[in-house]
Amino acid sequence: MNKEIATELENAGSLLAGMDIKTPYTVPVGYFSDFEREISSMVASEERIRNAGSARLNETYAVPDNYFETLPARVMKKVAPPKPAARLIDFKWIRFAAAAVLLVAIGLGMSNTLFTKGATAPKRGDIAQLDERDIIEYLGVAGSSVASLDPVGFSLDKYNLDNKDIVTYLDQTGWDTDNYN
Amino acid sequence: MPEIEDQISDVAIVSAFRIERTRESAFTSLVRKYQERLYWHIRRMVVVHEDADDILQNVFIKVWRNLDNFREESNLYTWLYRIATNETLSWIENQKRNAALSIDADDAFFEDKLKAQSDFDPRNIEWKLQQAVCRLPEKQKLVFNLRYFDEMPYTEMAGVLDTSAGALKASYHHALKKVEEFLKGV
Repeated sequence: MNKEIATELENAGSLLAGMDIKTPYTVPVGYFSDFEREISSMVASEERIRNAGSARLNETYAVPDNYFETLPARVMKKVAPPKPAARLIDFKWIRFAAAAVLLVAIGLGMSNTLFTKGATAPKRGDIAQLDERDIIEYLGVAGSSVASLDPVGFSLDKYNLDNKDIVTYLDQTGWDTDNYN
Repeated sequence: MPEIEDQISDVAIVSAFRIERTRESAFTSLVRKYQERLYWHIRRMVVVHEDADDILQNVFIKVWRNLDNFREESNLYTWLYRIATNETLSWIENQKRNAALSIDADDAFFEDKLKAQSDFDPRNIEWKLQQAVCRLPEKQKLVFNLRYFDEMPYTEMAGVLDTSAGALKASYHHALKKVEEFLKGV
């Protein structure tokens, strides 16, 4: 027994102090020499399996020469987007252009209708605000007859007509008063 | 306790193991050097030879797979004991779990195995001591075996069991007391 252990037991006043007690278990004859061989054989075979496994893997899955060097280029070739084919007429743009032309035409037509109508058909109130002289000058230039005008608020005084002239005129053209309503 | 020559030899073994050409011979040297010490450490814990043999094989297979990662600042001897201890405790835990028993509750688990040994003699002091040890909780059993049978210093035990030397000393004295009480009572 180790001296330090023996002293410790003595100091503790143990029954075990001074007793050289051994483990009573038995071991099969030749166990340790067999174990040494057995475990060495086990790890050696494990190593062989590991090496054989990696060697077999390399043989089975051989790759062509320069496979990995050329792989990136081949992958890029596959993943790059295809160039669009050249077309003489692009129908998509034609459709848009046609739609734009149609919209412009409709817009112009509507604006022409709206603005022109407003200019040629003034309201009665608007005409009433015009100076009589301007109207008469316009009629003279346009060659319009007085009879075609609305007589409301219209004065013939400035034409120096007398009643005789008027009766003569009416005798020639008729006395139908419906034209003045 | 490893001698100085042993430690130098351990360094040589580890170095040789890291060289592919001398790997297997270095490992054989390591097995030859430590197999008996580790075997008895395991056998005292699990009682039955076949179980100790299984565990010892697993220990050395783990050593083979992990010796490359062994950090040389720790003692190879301590490192091997630590692997053997962990492997043994795991084995015991599995055995008791399979038997639906708690680890420390059933004192008879290993005592029954002890009594089943072919040459068991209850009048023999050596068998009586083993019987007393079988009744200890697993951790106290480890401490008692490492100190009493393997004569391991507390500082090295601390490295194996990840416990302070003071705590191990206290644990050893508790174990010693229980063992003596059993021996006196028989």
